[in-house]
Amino acid sequence: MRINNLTVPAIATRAPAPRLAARLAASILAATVFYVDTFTSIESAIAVLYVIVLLLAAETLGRKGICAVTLSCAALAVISYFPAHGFSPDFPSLLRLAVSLSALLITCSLILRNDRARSDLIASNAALKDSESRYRSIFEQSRVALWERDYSQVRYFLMDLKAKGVVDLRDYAKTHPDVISDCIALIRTVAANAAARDLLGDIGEIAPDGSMRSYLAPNEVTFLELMVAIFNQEGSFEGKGNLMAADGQTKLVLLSMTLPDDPSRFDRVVVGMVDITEREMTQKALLEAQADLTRASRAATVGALSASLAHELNQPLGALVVNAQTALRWIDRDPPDLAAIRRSAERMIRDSKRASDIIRNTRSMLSHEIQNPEEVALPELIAETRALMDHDLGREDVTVDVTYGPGARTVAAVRIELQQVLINLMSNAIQVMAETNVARRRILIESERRSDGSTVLSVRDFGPGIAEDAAARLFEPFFTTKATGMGMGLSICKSMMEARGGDLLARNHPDGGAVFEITIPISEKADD
Amino acid sequence: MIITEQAVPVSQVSTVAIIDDDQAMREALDDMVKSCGYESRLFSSAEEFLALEERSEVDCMLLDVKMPGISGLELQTLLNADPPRPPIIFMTSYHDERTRSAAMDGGALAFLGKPVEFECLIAAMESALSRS
Repeated sequence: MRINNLTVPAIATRAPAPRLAARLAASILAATVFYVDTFTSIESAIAVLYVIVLLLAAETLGRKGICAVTLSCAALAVISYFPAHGFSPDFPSLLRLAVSLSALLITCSLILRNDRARSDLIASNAALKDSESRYRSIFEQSRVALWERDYSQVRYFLMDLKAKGVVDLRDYAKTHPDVISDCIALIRTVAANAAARDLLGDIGEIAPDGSMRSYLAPNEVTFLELMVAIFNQEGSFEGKGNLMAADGQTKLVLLSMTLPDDPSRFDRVVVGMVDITEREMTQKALLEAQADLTRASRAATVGALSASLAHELNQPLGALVVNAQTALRWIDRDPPDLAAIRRSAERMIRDSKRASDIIRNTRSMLSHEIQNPEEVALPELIAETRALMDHDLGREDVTVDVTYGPGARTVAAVRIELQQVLINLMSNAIQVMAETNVARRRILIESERRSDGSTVLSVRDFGPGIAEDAAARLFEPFFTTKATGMGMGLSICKSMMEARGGDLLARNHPDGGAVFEITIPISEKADD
Repeated sequence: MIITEQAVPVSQVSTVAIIDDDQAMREALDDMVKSCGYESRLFSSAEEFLALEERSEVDCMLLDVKMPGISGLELQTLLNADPPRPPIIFMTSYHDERTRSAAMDGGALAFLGKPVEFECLIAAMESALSRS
């Protein structure tokens, strides 16, 4: 039969036995249709049945084969037409032939399109498989410790909280501490690569429910931050966190992950971890050493200074006491020795002056030189101060906003003094906002030129404000509300500003928090 | 307190040596000694005192512990090696126990801290002078 000769190798995946059967059936059917069409005079489009032949054959053939079978069937239909109808065709029979041929053509094109779609699908499947295995090999062989974790349940849980009206997860966690452990329990680890197993041991594979609870050290702030990132639907997360390894060691790791946009993809989030335990320990030791050194040198300076002051002052003070006592003796004489009393008094005056000279010299030695006011650009000074306090601000999540009134960007001041006052006020502000809602932790710095030419630099916090009983004593030396405070900061700041003709005042803001106002007096230089 | 000069016979006015590197202190002590009715001689260093030829005229010493050059304690040791020496009253800003016991072991009459307790100083001085 001609049909069989036209077959081309079919797509390899098709099994040979059914293929042979299908081809045989197609051939028999084609022969039958041809016979009936040619030798009987049924007045209908018998040739349409070639469509079935085509469908049967298509299962076993490639694209070229399908085209060939279509052409063959069309040829058979045309061949059958002539013996039955001769060369004087009538319209109905011609129409029937045309219907048959069209049916064949349409079927053929549908089969071809179907075939293309199928091969495209196979190709893309193969590409997907390829990509997956490439990903697997990268995942497994990466030197960076990687986890695939299932955050879908915890995301669902967090979104549920959000739907119930929770706005700030950090605040919520403060009042509901259990939420952290609940979240931890909802996370599953899907896979861990070799580096991750090296880093943390094999806890994850042992835990029957796949939960990674034991990987997390308790009281994990970073974990809360991650939950906040998911809660706020952020795109990625990076943070330092403590993880408990299988051997019980705590490792400090840098975690980073990309959080998918599509909620359904939260079931496989890749988490990268870099062990920074050692780096962090070194850094911590360094910082501690620095802090110790600072403390020690401060203590040493204070110690040396007070020893030297005590020694220096002891001489004139000792002489003063002896002179005063001696003067009393001269007074007690009968009659009193007025000339001697006068000499004693003169020596006392001289010794008192000497004592005050010693104190003045010590003070000027401390400040190295007499500082004169200079033109200070406030934006620059504030930016620099902010950079100095960056660590404290960041740690406490405090933002700083600065606004400058007209003509209030430049002042005449002793730069270092003004900066010391600013640092003092800002660190006070940071400390008093420890109990303030994180979202409200702000420091507002405002500069304003007053009509008398002075500039007022105010520092506002959003803490509890100044208590009534503290208000009057705020600037007194040794007054403090802090457990570890010396109570010298504000007192020194105020006298420093006063010594320059300025002032430092404090009040409560009507909308809450305290405002400290530094007054910087007018000066010819800044008066532009 | 009324001090009567009759306590000491005029012919035998005692002499107190004041050895201190601080001028204000020397002058104050000088006046104090005079108010008690004694003579005084001022020395700004231990070396200056050692240079004194008529050392026997000194009846009592008010001696500063810490001075540039020879210290008060060293001066006591030097004088101990060359007796007789007048009674010594030490005065110091440094109240440490080691210095104190070193002074007392060396035979000092008193060891007083600065600023000086006036009554103690006078009592020590009078007890020194009544001895001699």
